[in-house]
Amino acid sequence: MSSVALPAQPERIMKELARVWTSLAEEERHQGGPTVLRACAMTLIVATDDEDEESLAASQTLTELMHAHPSRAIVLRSSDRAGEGLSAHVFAQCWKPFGKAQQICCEQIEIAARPDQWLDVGPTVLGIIVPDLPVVVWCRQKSALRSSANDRAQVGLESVLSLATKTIVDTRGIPVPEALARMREWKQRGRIVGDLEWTRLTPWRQTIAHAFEDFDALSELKNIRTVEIAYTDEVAPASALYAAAWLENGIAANAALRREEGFGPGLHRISLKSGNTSIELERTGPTCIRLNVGDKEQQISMAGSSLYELMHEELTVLGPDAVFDAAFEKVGEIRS
Amino acid sequence: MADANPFQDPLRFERRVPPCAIVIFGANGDLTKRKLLPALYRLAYERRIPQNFAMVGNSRTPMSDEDFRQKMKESVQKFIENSPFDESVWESFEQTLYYVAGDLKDTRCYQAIQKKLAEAEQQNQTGDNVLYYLSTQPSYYEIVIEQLGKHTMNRGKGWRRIVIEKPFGHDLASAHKLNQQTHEVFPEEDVYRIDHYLGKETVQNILAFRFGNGIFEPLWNRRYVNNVQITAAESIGVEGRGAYYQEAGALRDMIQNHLLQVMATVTMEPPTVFDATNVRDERAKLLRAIRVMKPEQVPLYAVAGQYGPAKIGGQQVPGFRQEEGVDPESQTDTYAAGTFFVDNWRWAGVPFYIRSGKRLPKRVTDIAIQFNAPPLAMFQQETRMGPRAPRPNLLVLRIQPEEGISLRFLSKSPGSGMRVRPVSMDFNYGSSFGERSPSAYETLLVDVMTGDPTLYTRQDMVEASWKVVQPILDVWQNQKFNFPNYDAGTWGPRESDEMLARQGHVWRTP
Repeated sequence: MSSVALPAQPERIMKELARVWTSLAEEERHQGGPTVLRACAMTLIVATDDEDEESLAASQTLTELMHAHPSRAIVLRSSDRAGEGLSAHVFAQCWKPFGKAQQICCEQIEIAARPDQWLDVGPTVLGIIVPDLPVVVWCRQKSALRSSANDRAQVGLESVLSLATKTIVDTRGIPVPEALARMREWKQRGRIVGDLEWTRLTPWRQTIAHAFEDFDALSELKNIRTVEIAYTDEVAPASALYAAAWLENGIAANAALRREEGFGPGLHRISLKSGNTSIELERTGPTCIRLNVGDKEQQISMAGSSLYELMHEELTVLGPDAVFDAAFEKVGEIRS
Repeated sequence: MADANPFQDPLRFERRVPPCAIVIFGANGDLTKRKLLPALYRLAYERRIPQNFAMVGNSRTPMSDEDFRQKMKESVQKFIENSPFDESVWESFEQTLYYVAGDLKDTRCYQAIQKKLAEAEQQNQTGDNVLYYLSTQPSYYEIVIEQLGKHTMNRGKGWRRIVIEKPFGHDLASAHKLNQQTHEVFPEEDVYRIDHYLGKETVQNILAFRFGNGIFEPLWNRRYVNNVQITAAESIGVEGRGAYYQEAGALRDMIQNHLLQVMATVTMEPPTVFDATNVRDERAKLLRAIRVMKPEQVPLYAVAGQYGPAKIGGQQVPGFRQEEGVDPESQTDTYAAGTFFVDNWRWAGVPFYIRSGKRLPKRVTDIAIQFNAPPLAMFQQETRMGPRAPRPNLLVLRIQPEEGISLRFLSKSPGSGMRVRPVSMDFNYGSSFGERSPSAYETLLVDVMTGDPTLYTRQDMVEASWKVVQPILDVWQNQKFNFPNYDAGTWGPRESDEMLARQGHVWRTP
């Protein structure tokens, strides 16, 4: 269900939301169905702009995420094409779980503004977040990680980020030094920040962690002298730096980063070698990693790498993430 | 040597299987094909099965390892739920599957399994940890356990554990005997009696709901709870399992194990620590506190039923006695209901009604906690029969199919008069957390392989629950029922309604 464009004033938006719910319930009643069920576990704010080439995929992901993380979704779109003043649309995303009669609905509010009007977004959002529940900002605006926070748009975005229990970004495709510097700034202000480039490492990290449980490897840890991390991008992506930092936090050896041809984008291979044995992970397909421990080989699924799965994982970790924080700190040392 | 794995990340990594081998007895059976293998494959898909893993299947059918792998692949493709089948993951996983054909009564079968385990250990370095899974007919349990002992397969450098599927005996005496025989070979801490109901996410959620929230526990006692109704209804009949079911019946098949365990989960005291010993101690204490009926009380507090033929949805369905493999004079209960009381300070006097049956109107398992009405009925509820005293609050914990929790309370009807009507506040587990839940078998397999028995039943729990149902079984065994006494597609026999009416209650319609 969609509504006409509204002035983006909190009271107008909340009134429209109430109207949407009443109308949904009436519709169900007319069809003889049970009432609709409103589900909400958080406010999920998606900040996007004209530069976001995958906004359609993100929108689809947002709909899928509603099933696992029912939310009041607020999509904030910064666009040169937006009209004068802030405008809002209110929707309900509804679905019937397979084989079930009751309709489950979540709320979605879309607010569009021109970049120069972003300063006004914060007060609107403040009035429409769900009380007493976490607020997560999925920041898809690349500019937020790139430029300084001086212009009006950035100040506007800052007012939204200040509401967040957690901010999720994706540094893939963004110059790493600038992105990490901005994230560091946020973290220094006590904010919880997640990066999907770190989330992409989960299958790799999990496999390495497991390998060290199995073969008499724990005792081999101190003998590991060679750590190589290969990537397919032109320059080392954040995921490669995070992987190096994470490994260096556990092993007394420096990781060498190099570019290689292979499946990409992102990490292609990680290898750890001691005098006695070796562990090597190599991406052999879009969804597969080959693990070699000594002469034993195993194919590992990279399940968990779609945008939905990455976001789902990040949304299940809303509190501090000590392992990521430690790796993030270490990245600074590696880069310096 | 380092103390701990520095790469572990418990916030993001799921628990995974340690190096070990599983021997499945009855590997050509339905349980292996429908549940165990799909669960193991799913664990492999989620990167939770290590390289150092092996599964040795056994049954009588002659098959090579390759044939077995092909058969298991077909089963996984057919029965895996909500998961993709990844050919490359399967190719790696199937290398860990082995097969030994042999008769469980033949000692050569165990020698062959030993040989295969040694081979798997050599090839996969399973740490000499072995889990035996009894997925055979119950009549083989004793033989297998005895033979494992005779071949010293119960000991080794690594751990040895055994999983026993229900039924754990067919009465108190046989359960006690099975426990004794098992303990001659395996100590209790290595015995894992599986009740897959306890592995269901929603049954586990009962513990989170009760002990993770502060607002419910103060109401969770005789002062506020009027009665509790536990329903496990199936719409299907015996579906080709007539011969087995005829020997079991609803009381043995569902109430003695699943539903009494669920009741214990709903009513047990909070454990001081959430660990296996404390949680199981509290469950066991509760089961021991259930009042055991005297023979003369059985007709008042227990009802047996058997479905007869009927037309459902325009289709004629057979009665139980017309099912394949069933005695036309069968006295087996396809429906059982009981009124139970818990003799402790928290629950004294509160009736717990439990019912389970086949060919009921729908498939549903839930627990309904009915609270006392307010002491003074100030408002009236609008009904089709006119105004009447409002219905009391009801908290429903739904186990399946729509897992969740509903709270029914009263709200003012819109309009000028002060009339109230019930409304339901729903938490829908499946849709609120629409993420795929692990199957009960995934959870329970990882638990046993990591040595966590919290969700498994212990000897004293099994025997306590048999003690509760034994007097009913004894009385029913000597009684000739006038079966069938309910039509397929109805909510059971009239006597069941009368049992509640004697306490001033009625069954709710789930």
